[in-house]
Amino acid sequence: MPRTRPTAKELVVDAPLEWVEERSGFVGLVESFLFRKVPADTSWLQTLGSSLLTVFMLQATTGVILAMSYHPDPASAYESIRYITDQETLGWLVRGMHKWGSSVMVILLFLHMARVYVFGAYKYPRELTWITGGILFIMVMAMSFTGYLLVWDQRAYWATVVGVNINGTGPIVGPYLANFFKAGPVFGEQTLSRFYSLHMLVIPGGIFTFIFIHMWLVVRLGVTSPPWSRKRYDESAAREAVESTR
Amino acid sequence: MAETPEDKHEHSTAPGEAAAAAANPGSARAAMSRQKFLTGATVGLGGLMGAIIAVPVTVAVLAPSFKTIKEYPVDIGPTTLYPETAAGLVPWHDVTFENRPDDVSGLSRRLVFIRNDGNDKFTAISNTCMHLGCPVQANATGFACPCHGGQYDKEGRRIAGPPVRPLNRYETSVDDKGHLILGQLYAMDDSLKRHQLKGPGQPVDGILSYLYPPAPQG
Repeated sequence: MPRTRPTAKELVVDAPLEWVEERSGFVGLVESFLFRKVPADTSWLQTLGSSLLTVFMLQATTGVILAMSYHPDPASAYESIRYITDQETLGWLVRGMHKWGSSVMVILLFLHMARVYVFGAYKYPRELTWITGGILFIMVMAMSFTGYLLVWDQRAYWATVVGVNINGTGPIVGPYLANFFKAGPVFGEQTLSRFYSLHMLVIPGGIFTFIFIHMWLVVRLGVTSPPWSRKRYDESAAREAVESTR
Repeated sequence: MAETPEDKHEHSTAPGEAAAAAANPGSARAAMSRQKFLTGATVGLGGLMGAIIAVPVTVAVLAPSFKTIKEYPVDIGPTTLYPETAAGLVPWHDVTFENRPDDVSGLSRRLVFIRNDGNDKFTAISNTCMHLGCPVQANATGFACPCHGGQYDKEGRRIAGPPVRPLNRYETSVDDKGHLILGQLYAMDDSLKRHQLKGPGQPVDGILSYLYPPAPQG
């Protein structure tokens, strides 16, 4: 067979991908993630999880941009927020995306959880997926709580005073938990920087970790059919599908 | 699982064999194989290194939870600033002050309601609502909280809404220059008996009070 000249696509796309694949296996990994088998009657409701992932990436990206201009210091936090909103190029938009994105994320989270519950998708063998999802839920709530204070206006301050004091009413550990958030017995300069650190370092790290575990389980265990599915469950076909992913 | 002769040697070594194994650690009869030793060393050293990092970090993060409340006596000016008010009027003079001498942020600003009870006696009630810590305002009947509707009478006792106990008070004294001095902040129960300070929403008397350890003051 005569050697033909490689086409432009082979040169620009295929060859570099092959080079990467041969050395890392990344291309095969991404392909097996994107082109995995799902039930034929998978519903639009099952896109809520990916929507959540998308909004999380939006929050992470806009959060990084906001952190470039925000000062976690009681004397200048509010002024830096005003700078982001009024002075910075498209700062109002980035801040708006982060602010509204947080509400969208909480709404999507409830819808996603309701979908999983109604579909019975938390049952065997997906219990761990549900548990890691529950941990992610708590961490998203903690993100909302810690992010609210950072605006450092009257509403942010008093809402957080109330939120911290609600934690304080927990039996036995409550007072210590409240002091943990306040970084001491009363609200002070350290409170804002502690919330900032929790909001942009500690909790996001936890969310990244648990999203990875959550998605690992989703890919490993496959997606459930909707409860209205007419397709009979074929055990041997299911086993074959599981085997093919190994 | 069937026990192989090697297993038997490893688990029950006769005294003579133990000595022989110690003399030749490479032998299969050694009390601890090389692989086991290295596994143990990796886990042990790894755990130690982890602890060296984790312990100081955890202590530093949790230490503020156990800090004592530091309070300084505050001079809020001559007692003549706080005259007795005629019956039927709101008896409270509201005063703001910083409760920390080195405060630069304004976060230690507090508001206190002062009432002149006559004969150089004063009552000083804190404006922190005992539901969840919002600032209350004085009115003709007592105090009211804008956040969740807590209502208090003229002595700061709850008459309606969610607060769990009366408003906190400050110790008051008059110094030799005739200035009013605010001392320690303390909690009250419904019979206006003094208790050690606790956070908002935490009862100071009754069974539930045992669920909330008081914050140490110093």
